[in-house]
Amino acid sequence: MNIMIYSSILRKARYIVASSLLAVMGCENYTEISQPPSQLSGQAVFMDKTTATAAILGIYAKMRDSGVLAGNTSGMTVLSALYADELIYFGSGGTSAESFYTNSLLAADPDIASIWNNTYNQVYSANAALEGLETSTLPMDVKAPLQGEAYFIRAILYYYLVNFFGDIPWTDTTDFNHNRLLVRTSQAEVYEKIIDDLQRAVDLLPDTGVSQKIRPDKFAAYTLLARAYLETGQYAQAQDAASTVIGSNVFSLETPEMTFLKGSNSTIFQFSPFAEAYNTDFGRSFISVQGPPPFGALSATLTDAFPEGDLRRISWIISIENNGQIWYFPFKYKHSTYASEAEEYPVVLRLSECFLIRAEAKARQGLVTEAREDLNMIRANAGLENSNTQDNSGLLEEILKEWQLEYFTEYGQRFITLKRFGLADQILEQRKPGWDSTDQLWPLPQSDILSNPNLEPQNPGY
Amino acid sequence: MKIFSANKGLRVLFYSLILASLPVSALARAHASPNGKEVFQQTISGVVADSSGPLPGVIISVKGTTRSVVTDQDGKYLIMASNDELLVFSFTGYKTVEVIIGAQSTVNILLQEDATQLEELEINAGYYSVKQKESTGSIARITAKDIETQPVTNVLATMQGRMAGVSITQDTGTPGGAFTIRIRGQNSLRQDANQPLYIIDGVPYASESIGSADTSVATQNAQSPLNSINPSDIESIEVLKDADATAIYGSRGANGVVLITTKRGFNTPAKFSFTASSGFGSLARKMDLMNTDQYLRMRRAAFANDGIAPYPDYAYDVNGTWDQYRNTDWQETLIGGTSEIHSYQGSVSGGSANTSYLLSGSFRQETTVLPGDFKYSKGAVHFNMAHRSDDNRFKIQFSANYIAQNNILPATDMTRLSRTLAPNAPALYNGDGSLNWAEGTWDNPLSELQQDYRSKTYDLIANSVISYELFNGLQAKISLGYTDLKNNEVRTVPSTLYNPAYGLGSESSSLNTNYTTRRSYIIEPQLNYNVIIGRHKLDVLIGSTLQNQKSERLQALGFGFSSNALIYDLSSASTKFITLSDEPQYKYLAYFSRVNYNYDGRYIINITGRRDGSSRFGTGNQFANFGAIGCAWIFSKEAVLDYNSILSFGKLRASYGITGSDQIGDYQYMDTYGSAANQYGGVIGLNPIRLYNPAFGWESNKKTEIALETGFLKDRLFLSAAWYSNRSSSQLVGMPMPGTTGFQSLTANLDAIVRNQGWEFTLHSENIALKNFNWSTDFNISLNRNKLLKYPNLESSPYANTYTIGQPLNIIKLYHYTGQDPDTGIYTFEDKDRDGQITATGDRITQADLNPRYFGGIQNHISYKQWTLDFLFQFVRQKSLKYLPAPGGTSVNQLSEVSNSSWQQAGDIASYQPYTTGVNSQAVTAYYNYAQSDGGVTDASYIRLKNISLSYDLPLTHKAMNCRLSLQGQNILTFTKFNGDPESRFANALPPLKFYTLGVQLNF
Repeated sequence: MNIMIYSSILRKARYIVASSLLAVMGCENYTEISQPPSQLSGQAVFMDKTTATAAILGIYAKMRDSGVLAGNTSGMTVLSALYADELIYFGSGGTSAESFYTNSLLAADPDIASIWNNTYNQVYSANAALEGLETSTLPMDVKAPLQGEAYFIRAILYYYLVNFFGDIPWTDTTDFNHNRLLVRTSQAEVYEKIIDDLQRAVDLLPDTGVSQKIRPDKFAAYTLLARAYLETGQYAQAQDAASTVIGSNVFSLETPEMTFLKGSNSTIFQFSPFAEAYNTDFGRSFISVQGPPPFGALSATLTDAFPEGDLRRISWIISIENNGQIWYFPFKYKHSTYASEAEEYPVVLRLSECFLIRAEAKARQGLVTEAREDLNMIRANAGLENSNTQDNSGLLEEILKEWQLEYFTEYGQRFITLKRFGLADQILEQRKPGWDSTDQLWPLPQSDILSNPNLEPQNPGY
Repeated sequence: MKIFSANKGLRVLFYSLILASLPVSALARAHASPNGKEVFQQTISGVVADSSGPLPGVIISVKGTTRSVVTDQDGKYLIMASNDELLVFSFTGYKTVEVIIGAQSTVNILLQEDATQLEELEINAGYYSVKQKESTGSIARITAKDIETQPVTNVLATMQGRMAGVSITQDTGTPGGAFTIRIRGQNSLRQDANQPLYIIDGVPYASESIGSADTSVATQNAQSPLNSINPSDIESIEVLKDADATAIYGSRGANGVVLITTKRGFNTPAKFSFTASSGFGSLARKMDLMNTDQYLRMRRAAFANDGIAPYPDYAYDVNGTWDQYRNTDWQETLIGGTSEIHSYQGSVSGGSANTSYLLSGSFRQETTVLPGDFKYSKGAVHFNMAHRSDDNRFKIQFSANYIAQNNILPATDMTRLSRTLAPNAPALYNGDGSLNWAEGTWDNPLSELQQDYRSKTYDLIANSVISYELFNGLQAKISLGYTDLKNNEVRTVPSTLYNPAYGLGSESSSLNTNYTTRRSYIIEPQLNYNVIIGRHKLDVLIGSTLQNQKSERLQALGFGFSSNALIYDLSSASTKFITLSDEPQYKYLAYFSRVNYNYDGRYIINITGRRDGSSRFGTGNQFANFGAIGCAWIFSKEAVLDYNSILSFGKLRASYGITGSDQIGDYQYMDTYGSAANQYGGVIGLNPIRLYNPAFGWESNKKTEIALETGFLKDRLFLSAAWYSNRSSSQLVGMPMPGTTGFQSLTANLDAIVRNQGWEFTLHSENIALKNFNWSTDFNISLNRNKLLKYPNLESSPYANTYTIGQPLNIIKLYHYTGQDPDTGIYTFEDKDRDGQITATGDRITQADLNPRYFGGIQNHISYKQWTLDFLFQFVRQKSLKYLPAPGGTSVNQLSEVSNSSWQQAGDIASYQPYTTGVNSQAVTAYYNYAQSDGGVTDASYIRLKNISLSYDLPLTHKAMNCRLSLQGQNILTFTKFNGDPESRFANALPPLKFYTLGVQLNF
């Protein structure tokens, strides 16, 4: 038909085929691709101040939203409040939250796995930052505070892990060949490492942190150090560390009404919110505007524990009524919804703790009068009369109660305090029908026990 | 460019092979043309017809040469041939006729239709096609004839039960939802790395899901990407299984290859076809759950057992807050609706002697079984055009498929709720039509429907193949393909979803959006040479592939709306985050070759090879070589068996080869930090993305197959049996890591050998073949066994508690159930390690294999005069874990069999342990251990009438017109002992629906 056209196509076809075959053969580097535009290499991140800082801030964002410090209903704060004697569960059946409330946790519990995995992912990020900063060529004045933050992060994460899981695998490397075969480190040894990290953080962190206290400074590290000393019975050191914070005059106690506002002077360290317009997950998890509540309400043992006129009872607890029934909710954070600008940030560390730590540390050293002074600081701030208790054990009982009233539904403080006082079994047995003494520790997630047999034995009772 | 020397050596070898094959083929060609015969050539002409008239498009060739022509519109042809040569008349669907020319110059031929024309049936093997009877590889096939009888929307559904060795299960009954396909068992430990390679008209189609976890919830994160192919546009589907067939796909062939060929036109006068059908679907199987009376008796017993009195104020179901006599079948209310299906399709096709075309358009819409206005609609255009030169040397073919899908679904699958809600839970609506929240005592399930999922997908798949016969027998060809996929998904979370007790307004509403595009092109230049010298026939193919795929993903989260009416508008959100902005790229390069030698149609040897490079591996690990050898002996052509009246066909074939897989996702070898989705103090954080392992490389899969194919009584009975054994080594896995490593998995090569071995049998029988009555049966059955052969240091690996050498990979380890404690009634388990407690590591070591033992299908085709009946039974023998939602006695509804069967006092013989509200942690633990024990395993085998189709051709007076009415059904009957749907088995996902459609088809 049209031989001219075909022969010209033929010539072209020959050319196309031959040249494509040859072209293809010559370029085996065709399959080398560059990094995706949205990613940076691990090495490059810590060679630049902005990206190195972003790598540290990325860890705080993860801590705020997942793992031990998360404020949502799968976070440790809410779950441990259900687990201890603070919250009554009203949600639907068959959920993970319900098994925390009934103290019938399984090793395969999805919330346990998620808290554990997310927290260890944050530990990994801190270790990766420390490794990256170690070899970084950034100047020391840029590197040091970032290293201090990474040590602080690692310490606070291990602090909560060791309190809930007991002997935990401790690591300071990102090497998966090492980390996949970790053995459990005894609680005492984990505390040594926490204290070690915090002492470095104290040395490396600046005296004054950033505005809004959304990154830890030296005093945040001291506060946590005081806690770690208290847990390990090093009362004199606990007292000193707490005194450093109290004596700095950077912080001051606020009235209960003001304590959780973002500009509060009692705040030592708080998280920046999820979004500018977002308040806290705590508000969202706890507040109901009508009854019965969809998730949980405060237990009567807690609401009844407040003495008449306690400002915290007035300011930090809200009630709703329906058909003659009444329910109470934590109201430390008063906003459950978005606003044009957040008024509350999740407060991780605040000054009251330093007074309570110091009171307890002094009482345990037999310094009753000094201890009572610190206790009365907290009581006075709550609008209560001074305590006149003279005997040490009576005072310790009052300190335990003050911990309960001051720190209810805050980062598992109640549960941790009960254990430190050795009263978890005695108190929870009466209040929780499903309580067994093996419930003092949560189970290690089954997935980890299965993929790393070195973690055996599982915590008793699971 | 860095290449290790070993790698370079292989390359040099490969190039020299390719280059060497060129002069050899030229040499072969010189011998191909018999000398001196052209001198006596004359022009032969004639007309080819069948019983109804002239036949256009019949191929007439001179035997032993490459001379060939095609009949024109009127069935006429002209060809040059000498008088001692043989003319071969062939046309698909007709018996081939050979004529010695002799003295005649006009040869008119009447072709006869051939119903069982297996010998000439050409099947698509990807880069080449092969006569089914001369194939050395294992290829299963279905055609438009099988697809037309099925009222389904996903191409994988059309293959279910019809192919030996191909296991397909539908994961969900939600429109657009995913299917699971396994070709000859599970090769990879990573669930998502067992996808076969899909090739649509020569273009690889990425099967990775395009949805994002944030946006698509209803369909379990997976909109099946294969929805982008319209079943009614498909001419045939071939599944390549063994090494011989898949090795030419090299690194991507390990899990099998699915070749989809779309319809094309023929050189006929224009033909029009129009099809319309409508139908309805509903839940195929419900679970038998407790009613209110049974449920409340259980709850009250549980509180009594736990010693809790009075009922706590949060126990609304028993404490009188909720009506004690109200009874709702939540499965009926929430997922028991009727889905409506409407489908329309029109096409025109035809052509002249040189050019043919087909154009079709279709539209389909399905609603769901859920309450609310949800639907899935899909429109498709398919175009195909082919042209060839008069001398038949130049050919060009173009095809394009464009599909638009629009899916509006609730973001939550209601199935779990429908099975767990207390039967006395409150009414859905208040008297005034508003949602009833019963004063906050429950989460109204209908509130879930307020978060919806909307997805729009536009998909173009275009392909062009241009070929030219450079010399007799030497053909140059280039295949060009392009795919362009756009997906726009949103998921809304309006504040009305939440219990009003939270007091949330539209400022708490949020919107997730996901915009994904994925473009890829592929260029495949090829040279094909074939020559016939006497009884020797040689086919040589060399080619290369260049593929580039680039995706762009932009995902955002917006929240804080001034009104819920604005929730679909991202710009109305007061706070917006870009949660992902990414441009992953995938590049792929390969050279391939095939040499096929055929002696006398009796002995065939087929060698294929491929060298592949993929950007998914780090430098130094990017390239690998794959290849296979296949042989066939058609023993029925041996003199001893020739003209045997019983055995009409016999073939023994075997193959061995190596294939691979690169399904690990992009960039996995890089050590990178990526932007966090969440900000902190106004700064977007950076997070490490994965555990960094630069050292992983290709996995290899060695496949062996031996098969026997036999035809009896002129092939009216056709039997095949195949044995295969696939050994995969250095598997690429996401090795499970303890959380203490920071991540839960690591991409690495697993130092283990895994074997999949099995049998496949198929049978085709023409039971009755009369003028007005035909009945044929197809049967297939597959048995696959999976085994871990070798794993050095298994004990210290993360798999120590998962696998056992000598056992299947996908076994699950279970506790051994030893009955109920006579004193407490609580389930007991064997303390295997005698440490006094029941622990997962020490005692969960009893093994159960939940893989199907065998599966298959039996299909019948019966036609009587104008009536045609097709039906397919699918069967699977398998075990499954029982449905155990939560311990009996908690506020979760249970199977009705749990009612009245619980242990109450010592001496009771009960099948169920004492009820508990959840505080009896011993009972709770025992319950969940039971769910992971051999006591919790049950038979989930089933036989399902998967498909039935009855059609009737209206006896019309107008000859050229044809009108067919058909009634079709899918998943009509199920026989099983399993409580729930035995196919999907996911208790929390909507099971596959059963549906019927009625259709009419008009052809003229």
